[in-house]
Amino acid sequence: MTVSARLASEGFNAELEDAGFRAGVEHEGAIVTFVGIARPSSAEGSDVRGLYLDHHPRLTEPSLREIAEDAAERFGVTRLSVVHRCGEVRPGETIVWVAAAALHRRAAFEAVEYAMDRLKTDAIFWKREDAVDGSRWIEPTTIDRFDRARWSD
Amino acid sequence: MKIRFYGRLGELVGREIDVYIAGEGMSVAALRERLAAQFPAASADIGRRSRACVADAIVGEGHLLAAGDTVEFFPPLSGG
Repeated sequence: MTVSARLASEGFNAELEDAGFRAGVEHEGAIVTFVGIARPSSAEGSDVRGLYLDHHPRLTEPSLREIAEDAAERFGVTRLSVVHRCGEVRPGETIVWVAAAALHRRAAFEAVEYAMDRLKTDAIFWKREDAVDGSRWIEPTTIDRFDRARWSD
Repeated sequence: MKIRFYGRLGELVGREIDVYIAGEGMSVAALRERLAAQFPAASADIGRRSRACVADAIVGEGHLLAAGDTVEFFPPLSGG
């Protein structure tokens, strides 16, 4: 099992991450990737200038690693990688990239979905949305908490 | 004692403040009350909606803080 987790303070290229991940895959039969992109409009429909992801200098990256390790172990995938932005993110930029490789597709799909649900609620970030009509700090929605809870044992 | 705030709290209160506490220590709950009184605009967020963290570990309300500690307050997390 190979797990990696990286906090990116600058923009990163999801296609390059895809290619690097693919290059490390040897005997697996499935790769699933997820790319999260900053939306250009808020839930209320106003134009968004950008997001600001506040983070903790020591705890954020380990929280990504813990989620990645939990996802890999839980579903038995052979490789799992996470890259997550911090700082200022413009609409259209990638915020988060997750990839899993497994012998068969089901484990890879589930591991990525689990990792994303955990990242929404358990990764150590605080996200502010800066829209044309004002800024607001985002908190996990009821749906986010439900998505997280369905993986509870 | 140094106190650091993140997310919404960092904006409301400031990233870091210094608070003087007497030698016998102070519980996390008592610190919350004191900060809520000092920063009324942030009182709801300084209350139970945020978690307190000392030496990179979450601590409970009864945890006793010493003058040399750094306490960090985490509002609800939101990543992804």
